[in-house]
Amino acid sequence: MKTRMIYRFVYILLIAQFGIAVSSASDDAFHFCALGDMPYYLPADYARFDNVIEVVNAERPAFTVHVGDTKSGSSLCTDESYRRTLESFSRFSHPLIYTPGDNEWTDCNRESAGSWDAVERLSLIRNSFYKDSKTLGGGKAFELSVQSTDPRWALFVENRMWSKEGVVFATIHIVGSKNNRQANIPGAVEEFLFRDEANAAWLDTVFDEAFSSNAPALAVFIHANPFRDLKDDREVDAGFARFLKQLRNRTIDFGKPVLLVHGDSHYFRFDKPMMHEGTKRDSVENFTRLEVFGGTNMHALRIDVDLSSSHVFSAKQVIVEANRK
Amino acid sequence: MLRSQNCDLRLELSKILRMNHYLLKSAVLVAVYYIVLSQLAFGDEFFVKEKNRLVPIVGADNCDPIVEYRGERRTVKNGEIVIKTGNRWKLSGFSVDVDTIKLVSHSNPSSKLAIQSSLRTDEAIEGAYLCIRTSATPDSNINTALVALPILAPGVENKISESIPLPLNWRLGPLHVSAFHEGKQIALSHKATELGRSKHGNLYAGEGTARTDLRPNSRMPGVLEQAAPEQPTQEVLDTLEQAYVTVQFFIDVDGVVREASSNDFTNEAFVALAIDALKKSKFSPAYKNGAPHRIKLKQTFWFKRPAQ
Repeated sequence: MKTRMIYRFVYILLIAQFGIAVSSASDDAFHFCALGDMPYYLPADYARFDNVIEVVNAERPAFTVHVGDTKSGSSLCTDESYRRTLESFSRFSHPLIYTPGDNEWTDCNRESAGSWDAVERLSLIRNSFYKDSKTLGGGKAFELSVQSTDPRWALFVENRMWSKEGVVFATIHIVGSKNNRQANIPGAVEEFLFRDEANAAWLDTVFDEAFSSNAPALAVFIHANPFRDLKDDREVDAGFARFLKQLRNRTIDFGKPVLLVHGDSHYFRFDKPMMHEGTKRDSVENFTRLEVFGGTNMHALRIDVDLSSSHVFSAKQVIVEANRK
Repeated sequence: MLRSQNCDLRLELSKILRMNHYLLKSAVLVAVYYIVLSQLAFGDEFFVKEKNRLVPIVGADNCDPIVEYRGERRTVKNGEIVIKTGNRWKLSGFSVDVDTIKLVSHSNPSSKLAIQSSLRTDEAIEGAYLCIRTSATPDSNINTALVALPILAPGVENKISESIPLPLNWRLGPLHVSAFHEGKQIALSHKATELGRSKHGNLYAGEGTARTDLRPNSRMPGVLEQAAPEQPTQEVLDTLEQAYVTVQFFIDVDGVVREASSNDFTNEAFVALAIDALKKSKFSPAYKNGAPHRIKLKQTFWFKRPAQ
């Protein structure tokens, strides 16, 4: 009799626990993963990248975004290196979206990288990674909006947009190495100017979409870290100045949570570095930046999207035990 | 008898006529020689004895002659003489004026030969320069003036001048004016032949022919529409009085600016503004031998703080 009462009590407790668990997450909550700047030191990092993929797959995210730099800037930009990256990407068990970094094209003109024509390597990336408007990786690929459907921006197959549960997501091709605004490299500034113009148009399209669809939040993925550290009094790098200004203005107008996910400096951080114009400490409250791990730190991030939360986005470190140093 | 006399008369007449024919021919020939020689005006009183002739330039064996040089002759008693050659070197797409060659002649042995010339281009030509080369010596080419002027400023007079000391009893060697581009002689070469001084202190500029190795259907790119650079931000402007950016770029066969870059600027913030202006400008491509030709150019943009 006594035993039966204990069983009944445990049963009630379990039922109650289940109810609490179900009611604490809203029906439309989901999560995705973000990573970047990996694999970096090749070929040693290929195996470590496989470890990351394995752990990320176990998280069962709705999708994963790779924010660029699939190798170090000084490693070779051979066709084989891109093929190998694509092969790695195919091991994700769910949809993957990728935006290029500087190491896989702007830095290809370095002697150590093979002295390639950077724009030619970018062209190869566009032809290899963006063959259609669907996601990379595995699982159930889904359709993405692509900027290149606008004839004026036909080149920019890598600028992509999608939504889930009303939240708008977009990649914008903004890379390290000063966003390729490199005065001494023939053709670099021209390339930057045209892409910067395309990116400005795309960012407007993305915010317009978020605005018109009454999106509860927006997440933008780029490769470069466009921010200076707070203690750094220098002007924002001219390669990012226009983007940051536009992003700030549109974010303030949008008024709902905006998340910028990027890589480039290999330093995980989740903060609010965007300040109101003319101030140094007055943050734009609805803007949050998330920088992924990368380089020697081969781990990933899980971002939970909870529409019932005022912040919408929360980030969790996904540490890959096998990659601990 | 009468018939035979008539025949003899006819024979004599025809002989005379034949002789007159030769005389006439000879007279015309003498007259022609005289006219030519008098026009050339070469005489013993001149140190310069060679006839006008074209001096081939390096690599110009297959040149097409497209311009003609016509000099002037002036006579002075010592002092200064200015010979205006008045040449206009018409090179398709841009023109070069070699308008003044100034020669100063003195009996003083320490005299110098001064050469001045100016050149005007419609467009900037990177790497092109005007070269004047001459020598003044009684025996050999000892004193040589070689001056080069980068042709960078379109639409303005690019002046060049040089002087060389003159020995006693000097005579002027051939005067070459040439334009070079990317290390190759491209545009013009003329020999103001027989520039020299007579025993009596006369100066003479003879006649000559100029040739170019650019064919008439070659031309430099044309500016169809020139876009002005945007002003930098006030923050940037506040930091300096003025700035410049020299941009190197190609105008491709389709007239599009490509591969622009700059290693020469006061402030990197201006580079993109300058390149942006170039990209927004419209050009017609250069032509070489009738076909569109990719060409490398250089342009300097100046930025000044607007007056308050």
